[in-house]
Amino acid sequence: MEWQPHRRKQHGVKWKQIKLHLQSLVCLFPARDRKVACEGDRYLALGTPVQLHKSTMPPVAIQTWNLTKRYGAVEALTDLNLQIPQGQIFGFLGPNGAGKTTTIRLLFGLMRPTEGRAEVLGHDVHRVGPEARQSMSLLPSDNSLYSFMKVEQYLEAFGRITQASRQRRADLLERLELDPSRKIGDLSMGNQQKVAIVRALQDDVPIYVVDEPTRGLDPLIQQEFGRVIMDLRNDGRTVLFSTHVLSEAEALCDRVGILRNGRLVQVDSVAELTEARVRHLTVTFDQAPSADLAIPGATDLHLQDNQAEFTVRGSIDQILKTLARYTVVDLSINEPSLEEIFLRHYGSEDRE
Amino acid sequence: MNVPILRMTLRTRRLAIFWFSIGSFGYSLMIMGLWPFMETIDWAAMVEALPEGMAGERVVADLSPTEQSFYQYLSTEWSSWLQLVAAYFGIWIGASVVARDFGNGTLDVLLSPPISRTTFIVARMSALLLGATLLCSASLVGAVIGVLLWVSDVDVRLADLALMHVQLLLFTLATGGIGLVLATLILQPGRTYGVGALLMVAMFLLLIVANFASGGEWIKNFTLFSYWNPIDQLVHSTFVWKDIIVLSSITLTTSTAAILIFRRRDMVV
Repeated sequence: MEWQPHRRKQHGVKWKQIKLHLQSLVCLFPARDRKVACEGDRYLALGTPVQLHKSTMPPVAIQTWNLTKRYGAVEALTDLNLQIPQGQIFGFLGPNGAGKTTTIRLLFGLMRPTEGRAEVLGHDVHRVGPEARQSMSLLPSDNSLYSFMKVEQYLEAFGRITQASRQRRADLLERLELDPSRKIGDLSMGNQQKVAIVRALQDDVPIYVVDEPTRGLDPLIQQEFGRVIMDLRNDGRTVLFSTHVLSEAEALCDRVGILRNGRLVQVDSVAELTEARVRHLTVTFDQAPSADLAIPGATDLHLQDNQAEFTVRGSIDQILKTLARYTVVDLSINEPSLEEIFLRHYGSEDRE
Repeated sequence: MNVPILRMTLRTRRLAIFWFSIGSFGYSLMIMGLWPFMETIDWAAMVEALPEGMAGERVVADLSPTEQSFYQYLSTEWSSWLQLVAAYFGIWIGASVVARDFGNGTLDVLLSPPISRTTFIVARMSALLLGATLLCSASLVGAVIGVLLWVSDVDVRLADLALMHVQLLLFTLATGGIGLVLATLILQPGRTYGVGALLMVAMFLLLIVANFASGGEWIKNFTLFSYWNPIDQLVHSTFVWKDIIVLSSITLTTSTAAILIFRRRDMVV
């Protein structure tokens, strides 16, 4: 499927471009600790390739500064500093109540921040909300639909509001195998979710914000939805992908941000996260190694017969060089999933 | 004003608007159609026999007994019921244009496109205006047809019938404005409808209390139901400016308040 380039008018592009370039330059000099989630610092320092949609567009899709939302004494979101460059799929990870949906609602002006601010393509989401929302489309987590409408009526009605592309709608209906002539109320939960997905993605915008988008979808459609999202990214569009399905984030996202109790505790590329994480290695030698076997960087080393099990944090390059001195019959690297990284940030009590 | 939002609002409320309008049309038609059977009853005398405070609007004018009876019949069986229907419709549709979408989660999607909240709520208020106009027009059409077909012994001026329905429209919009303000303040549909209904019941009770209490005329200033005097219009051709001004002011004030509140309101789930 070919996505049509977005046609929505950009306001004050020149000035915003200069301003955002200056902001990007500031971010080239990371003054903050790597553990502190200043997304701009990380992104530019890592040199992640960014596919710009148009040379005239600023490189940052979404940026927040100390974005905070409190309900009385309850802090739903605290000091969120985030910078999402264009042309990436950014995974927003965290369990229910972590602050993902609050962030999304703040970005769409559905709520006002207690402190801080947010910009979308250089437009302040609260001062010039309609301009900011001109560039975004939302797929909310709670997708209530008008059940008395037919699918095509619903999509057409919303399409008129956002001037959505009919061609895009037709493509999405075909890819997600959705019958537009059916009444929404008669559809299964999964098919209703497809209606919501088509409604959101039929808009021709540079940024898509999807909140728990694959809920209720069968595995095949989940895969197709993943391909649709990848196509959007390949077309230079940005996707803020909020989910608690870690495998999904791992498969689709270029980078992920992990939220915990309303705080962004880590932001990294999926590759960086997996690189920095702990691996469990099991090496089988042709004969039992000596008891004083030394493997640099290995911890929790257990030797049993001709097998050695140990844990490595970070790069395994030095390990492999050391092992090259021996005759290795078998080597298994147990790749911990994103789940393990996730759980490093969430104790069992937090997940309750 | 955003036409697609207006169209969608009308589309989602079309059944309610349609059935309310059909109901008001049928009711007005029925009331006029029943007059040939009702004119044998001396309505004026019957109303006079009621205790003070229960009679509602008495027709005191230089009218023939038939005319007196006819207008008393309308006052008792038509206009008071029409007012209750209009109050219910106004509160319900005024509240539902915001609260219903908040309740079923569609408000998030509706507010995510690049339109301002003011534009959104103005489109929604326009739907309320169109719905109320349709309701009142349907009643007017039913009444006009009924008068032309069955009311031959009383001279009913059609212009007065129309002006009476203009008053009814303003009354509906005023109650709709109250419903809208409540919806923007409360957001939850159940609570909004509940508070709206309580407010209407309270105002209706105030009217009854004002009628019963000696020297309780001043209480009428605090109830919306006292600003609807259709018989004055029909009998005396008096366009009650005070009622018009009060109802228009309430509509304007509540609409402005709803816009201001909605613009700043957090849509907290």
